[in-house]
Amino acid sequence: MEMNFKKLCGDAARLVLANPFEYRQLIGALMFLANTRPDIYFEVNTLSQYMIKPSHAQWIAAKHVLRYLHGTINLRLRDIVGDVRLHGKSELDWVGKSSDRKSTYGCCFSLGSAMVSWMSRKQKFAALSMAEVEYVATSMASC
Amino acid sequence: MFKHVLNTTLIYCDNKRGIQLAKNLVFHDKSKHIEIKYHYILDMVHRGAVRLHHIVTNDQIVHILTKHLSKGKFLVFREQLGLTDVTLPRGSSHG
Repeated sequence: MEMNFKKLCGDAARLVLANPFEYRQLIGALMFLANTRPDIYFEVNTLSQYMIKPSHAQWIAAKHVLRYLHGTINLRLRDIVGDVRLHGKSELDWVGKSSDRKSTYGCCFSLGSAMVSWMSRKQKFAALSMAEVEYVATSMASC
Repeated sequence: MFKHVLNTTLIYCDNKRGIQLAKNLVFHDKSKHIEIKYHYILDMVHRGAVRLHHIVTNDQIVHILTKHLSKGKFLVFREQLGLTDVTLPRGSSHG
């Protein structure tokens, strides 16, 4: 699912939605769904950053997510099988959005073969180096 | 499942400098600007609760949670996350 905002940021980005309530409702529902579908987690995370004044571009992107879900409705997370060992992975996106210069970090934990926990968040500060972001990301992952 | 005792947790990250920072006890000048609360990982590593490992960027599945990916990579990482189509036989992926 390639949801490229830059492509959509033409006229659609300037068109503010007349009824943002509907958009907020939809994102709320998607957030609930992201608890069992880590693949849409990042998209929902990005879309939820536009709750106050969503534009037409975000509405199109949200509908894109719905279409993706419709196409992949049979996907399920694997169960825990065999060896139960906790493994974590942490990762960052260095200055994902150029508008506020903040990085995104994420981590996920698996117990054996099954994914049990995941999260992705925008950092609260503008980091000075890649190592700093990675350091903070691992720190947040271990909390 | 609850009989198992969890050993040291391995955390994979793809930045060697970040790993070095977390392993080194001496706070050197280069990490002065990082807030103290984020040095929590240092404690964890020295207590032995967490071990940091390096992983090649291309194998890092958390990319799926932090950035927009091309379709090919997205499908590979999604498979690795453990999301599989229940209606298909084992081993085959659905796009």
